[in-house]
Amino acid sequence: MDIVNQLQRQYVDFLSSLYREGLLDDQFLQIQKLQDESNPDFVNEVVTLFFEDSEKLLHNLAIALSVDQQHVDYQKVDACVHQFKGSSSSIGAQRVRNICVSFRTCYDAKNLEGCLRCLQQVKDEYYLVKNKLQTLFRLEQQIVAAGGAIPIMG
Amino acid sequence: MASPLGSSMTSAKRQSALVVDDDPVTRIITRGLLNYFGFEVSTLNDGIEVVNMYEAGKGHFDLIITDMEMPVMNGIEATKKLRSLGVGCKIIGVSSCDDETSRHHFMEAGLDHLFYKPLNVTKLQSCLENN
Repeated sequence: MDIVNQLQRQYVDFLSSLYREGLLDDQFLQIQKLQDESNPDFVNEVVTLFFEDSEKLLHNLAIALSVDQQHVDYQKVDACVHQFKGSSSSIGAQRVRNICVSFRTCYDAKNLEGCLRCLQQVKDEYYLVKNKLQTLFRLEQQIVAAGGAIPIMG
Repeated sequence: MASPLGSSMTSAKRQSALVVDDDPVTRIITRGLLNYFGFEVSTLNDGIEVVNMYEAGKGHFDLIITDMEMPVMNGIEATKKLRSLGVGCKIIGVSSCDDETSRHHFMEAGLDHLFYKPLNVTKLQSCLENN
């Protein structure tokens, strides 16, 4: 098995595992469909923007929740989590999105402890999916550098 | 992957679409979706911007896709306002909100279609084909 086939196999196995573990859902596949010769870096651009946007949102959430119970701006928390839910849903980051749904329950109840727990969970899931996507893109670069084409998942 | 346009769109004038959403990630993905279907795409961040554009006589789109929840003017108010200004193009709403009352109000504001987020090729194809 030559190096291109090996890398392609590794890519397919890795991406399949991300779907199997629920880190990504079908929406990511839909985004991959939009990448073509006229838009060859579309997925990378979208995911890079998601990373930048997410890190701002996590920073803002940390600030909003770093005060005592009486001074938490739950509207600000709502705005950040709502946006995070939307963007994670848009790229198919399913587990991040699901934590945002739980997060809402906590800030609707003005439960600061619950919010702090959700913030940690959403950070954990975000950095996990970020790490996995960066690995995926490195595999893509290796395939292209070896002269192969990136496999298209059905 | 080949776009579903076919040769007919490449020779005809491209249709124009406007995406209105406060989330930059959703904006870029929706733009990509619309490009895939052959639209020339512009984007705005809030309902107030699209209303201002049309009030100034500068809005001329074949399709508008608008989010429901936006900071200054939400999609419900923006859609009502656009329809009251006589905007007749297809308006598609997108929302992650589960509240049925809000979704009903959004449709009643004058939408042609309303989808749960995220929008994707399958959903958009279904309503673009039903012209």
